[in-house]
Amino acid sequence: LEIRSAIRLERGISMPDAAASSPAQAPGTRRAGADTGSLQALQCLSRASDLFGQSKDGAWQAKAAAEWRTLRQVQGELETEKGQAVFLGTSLAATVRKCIHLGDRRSANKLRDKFHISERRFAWLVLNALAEIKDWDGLEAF
Amino acid sequence: MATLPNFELGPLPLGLIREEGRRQLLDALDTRRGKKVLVLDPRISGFLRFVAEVPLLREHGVEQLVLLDTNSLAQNGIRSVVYLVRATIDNAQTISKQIRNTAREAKGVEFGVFFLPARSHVCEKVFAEEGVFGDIHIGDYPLNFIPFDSDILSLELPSSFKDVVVDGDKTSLHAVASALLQLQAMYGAPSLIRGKGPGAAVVKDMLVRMQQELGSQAPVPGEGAIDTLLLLDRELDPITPLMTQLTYEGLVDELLGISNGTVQFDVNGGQRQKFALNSSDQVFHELRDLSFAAVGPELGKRTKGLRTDYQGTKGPDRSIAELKQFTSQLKSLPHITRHINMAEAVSTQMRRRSLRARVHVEQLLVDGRDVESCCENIEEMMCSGMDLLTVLRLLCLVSLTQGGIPKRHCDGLRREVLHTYGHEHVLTLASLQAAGLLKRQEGARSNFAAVRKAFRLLVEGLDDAVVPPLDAAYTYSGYCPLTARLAESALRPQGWTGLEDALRLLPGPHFEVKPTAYSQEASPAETPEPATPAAAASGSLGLLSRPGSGTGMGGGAGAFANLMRLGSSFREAPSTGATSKQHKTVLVVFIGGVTFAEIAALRWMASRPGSNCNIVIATTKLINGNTFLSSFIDGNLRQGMAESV
Repeated sequence: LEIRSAIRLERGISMPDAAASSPAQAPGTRRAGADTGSLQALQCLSRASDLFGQSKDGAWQAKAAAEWRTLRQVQGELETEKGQAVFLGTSLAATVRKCIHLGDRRSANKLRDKFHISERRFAWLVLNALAEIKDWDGLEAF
Repeated sequence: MATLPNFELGPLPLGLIREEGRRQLLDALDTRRGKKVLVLDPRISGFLRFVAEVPLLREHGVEQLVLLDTNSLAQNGIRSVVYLVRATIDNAQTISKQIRNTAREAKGVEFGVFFLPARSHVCEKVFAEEGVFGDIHIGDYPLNFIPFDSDILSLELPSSFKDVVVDGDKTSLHAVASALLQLQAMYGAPSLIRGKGPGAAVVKDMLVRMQQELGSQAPVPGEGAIDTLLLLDRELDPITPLMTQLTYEGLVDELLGISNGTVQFDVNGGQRQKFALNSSDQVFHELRDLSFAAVGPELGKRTKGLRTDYQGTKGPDRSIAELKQFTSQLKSLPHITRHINMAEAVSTQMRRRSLRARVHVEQLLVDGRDVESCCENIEEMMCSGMDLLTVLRLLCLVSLTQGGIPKRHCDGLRREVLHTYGHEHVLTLASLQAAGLLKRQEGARSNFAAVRKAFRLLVEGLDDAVVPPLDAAYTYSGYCPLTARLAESALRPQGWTGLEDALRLLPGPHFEVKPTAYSQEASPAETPEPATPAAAASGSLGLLSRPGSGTGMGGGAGAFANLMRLGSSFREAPSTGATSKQHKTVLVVFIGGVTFAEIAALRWMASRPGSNCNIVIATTKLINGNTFLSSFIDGNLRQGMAESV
């Protein structure tokens, strides 16, 4: 029952999230970093994480929800920093890729450390992202 | 282009269902007078062509066909609107909005809402809450099974498996039972019902109860065209749909996607092709169930055959008859070209999506070897941008074959899914877990190894390309679908006797019912009537006025009697044409979906020398691994995914 309620709550927050992600697909239509449901979404995610944590085998879901919360927070900061509304509502992998596309290796490295992305996986992400923007010099330097 | 299958060629003349469906659709349309707009639920619009074509709808006053949304229909200058929708709350709300929007701009528009297959109280309540209940005429459109081919019936309920297993929602099981009851009214009741699995048992109980409620009206078991009913539950075998189908039709479905019996793909030149895939295409009819490995050589043989025939016609001493025969063969040429194009498109996709690597992992997993390297492989696939559904298929396959994902990989793989495809998929993973498809290994090993052994699921050294194939396992290149083995053993004369130990490895009870004439169990208040189809078909007033309790067929007893009358001529003379009595007709029902490769395995079984049965397949939905798992992804997310593609 605990899980059910947690999931329902989770569903509730995935709605504003879905709403937030659709403008994100059309960059420029939304002011960077100004996600209306942002604060609310973060609160919901914290609560979901708590609820999952209380249930019997919701430990990994609790961790996932907490991690999601951190991701959203970081994405919000990145959007304000870059002045581009391209991060919120995307996955961690997409966020790293975007950072590379924008030529910001420092943020990408920060993401790697914060979310414990394995070296191998991170190398894959960076290489793919560099190849996508045809940054052959960057590729060679990597 | 949109060629329909020839429904009369199969073991049961399914054209009857089509005719009945068409008649009722036209009746529904005719309840509204004059020119009208027909508004369709997107879930219905795809398969409606199996029932009625657009020109026919036009004859009955349909000026416009639109998909359901909330936009006002007033500007069309139309006086009446007919909706054809599934009974869901979302639909009822959308319709209410559209009706209000339309009514604001135009007065006096008539609205008729027809629910498929029957209305629900919730929808009526929504209409009442939205304040439009008084403005609309509500009706049922009792179309249950939709004939997809001469031997395939589908209810088109895509989320049936998930509804039952995760949400405990048994609506779809009720839908199966009432659809079977309707089918029995048309084609007669079977003399033997056999089945296995929790859902199958529920359907059987419902069906038997519904029959008893009909009392003397029910068709007499064993007198109709259906001899045996076999109920199989997807819960018995969730593994097969996760594997890549390797028959021609199956692979086309996996890689190009077959939707409502049609396929769309790009030919090398970049031009888009769309055509119907069913048994009316002779070339496809012969090739569809072969292993893809055998399709190339077979197509080659056919083109070569044509060439030698052509050279044969050049001699001066050819008779007109011979020339005629050759030209009739030439007619198959466009079909052959089409299939060469399609086989090419499949091969291109195979290379692009690194299908070989995927199939290799699947084969290792069902064999129970190298699980470690499989987990690493899956992780690698995520890195290289494999799509979510493929990855989920493989993860579930690991879990189901090994009794859980090995501990040291589980957390990492789960995290990787969230990182790559978005944290919102924590919901997807949770519902897969709730369905038992994905879990962490906790001590207890899976009994899959025992099942594999008991049912001989792996066949070593099988050459897929041999025509005709030697074992049903050709459909998945050496792995035989469990459902096929279950059906094979169920159709032996001794049935499942002797297999009890093996059957106990699988979830749910197995059962065998030999229904006797249900009339004996009818309520004592009723005067016993001869329970012959003729009596029911004559439809005495007393019978018709009896309330149809719980038949779930919308129209109740009246509608049932009607169907009985329709099928009566057929049931009284069961041994006509193709259904000679040397062959038993078996209806195999897959509750929770069936893949094309599984159908191929069953057809292969029925076509073997010494087989004495014809098989008709009924299912809740034709599925492949992707469509099977996509019902586990939350509706909102699914929409987001579709947009981002």
